[in-house]
Amino acid sequence: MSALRCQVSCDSAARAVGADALAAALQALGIAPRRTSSRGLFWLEPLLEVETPEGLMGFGPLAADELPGVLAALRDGTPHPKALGAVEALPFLARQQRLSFARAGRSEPLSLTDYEAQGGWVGLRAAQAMAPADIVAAGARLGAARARRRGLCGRHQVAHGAGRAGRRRKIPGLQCRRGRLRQLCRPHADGGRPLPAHRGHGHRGARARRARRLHLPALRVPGRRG
Amino acid sequence: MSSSDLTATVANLLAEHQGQRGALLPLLHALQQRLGCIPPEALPLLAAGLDRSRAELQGVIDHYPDFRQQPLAAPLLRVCRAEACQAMGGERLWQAAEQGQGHVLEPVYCLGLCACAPAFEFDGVRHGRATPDSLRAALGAKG
Repeated sequence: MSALRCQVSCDSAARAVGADALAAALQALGIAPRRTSSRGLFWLEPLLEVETPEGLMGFGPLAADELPGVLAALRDGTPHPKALGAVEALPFLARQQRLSFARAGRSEPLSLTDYEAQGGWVGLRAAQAMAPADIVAAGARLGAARARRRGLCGRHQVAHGAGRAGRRRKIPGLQCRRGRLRQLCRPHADGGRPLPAHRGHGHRGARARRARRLHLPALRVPGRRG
Repeated sequence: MSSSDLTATVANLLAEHQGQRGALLPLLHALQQRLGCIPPEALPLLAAGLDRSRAELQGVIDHYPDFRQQPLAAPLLRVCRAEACQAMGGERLWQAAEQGQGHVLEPVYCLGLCACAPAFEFDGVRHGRATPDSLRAALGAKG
């Protein structure tokens, strides 16, 4: 069984439900598991993931004393009651698009070499190869492509987004004035989805801005008579 | 611990945290980890090293329940009393902990183990999906 490659989480929650005991039981059998972060499937912890040609196969929640049964099932190719199949195909994971947590459950959390092996530093390396002006330009493009908008994107776009001309009236006067006065964010360069027209006086962001404006001191214009 | 040992320990820690901004809390943590508590005799040394008043340090230590000025008489048992653990039967865990002997019992408001509640921590080791039985087993294994 020395060829068996597997991983057990070293996450605090996984350890609290017995991942360390499971890892120790593997060690006792001469198998050194990788200690990765957790997938976040805490109801399946302690989760044993075994590398197979078909990907990582999960078993969980697995107590240390169930390990011999799992190893026998793996050896004989028989089903095991705790077998979960391919971990990354589990509906909970397959439905997710992970960005910040893309490596959660796959990499060893404190190993920079492992981080690098799984696609770490790619952005940094790319930036290192660029001229400073190109980095600034790329940053500006990223800003323009910002997916979530804040503020109003301009009256014509709101009207366009409202679909029918009859809805034009529903755009609150406050937002229209803001748009004219350019007190709001400019439309984004990508011209993506416009802001919904229903963001009116009651909207949190608009309200906050209005409150701030009320506290601005008035401009002092000297009278003609001095 | 003799007073010269304490002086040396504090001096070492102060040197390690030299120039660090906001060094007080890391220092107190390190001292408590090393000595098991923050002895009152360490206060004047820390105050001199950090250029703070003793009253200010005392205020910080008193503010955080995790800082102790006396060493623990027995291993520390912390049972989570926060919402997720209460919803999963933490009350029974607390009752079992109160009946046990040979430990110092403290409530804690979240160990970060809500996904495997109820949870407790005994002598630095955390246990999730705990039951009164698993709590007694953990206490018995140590005591």
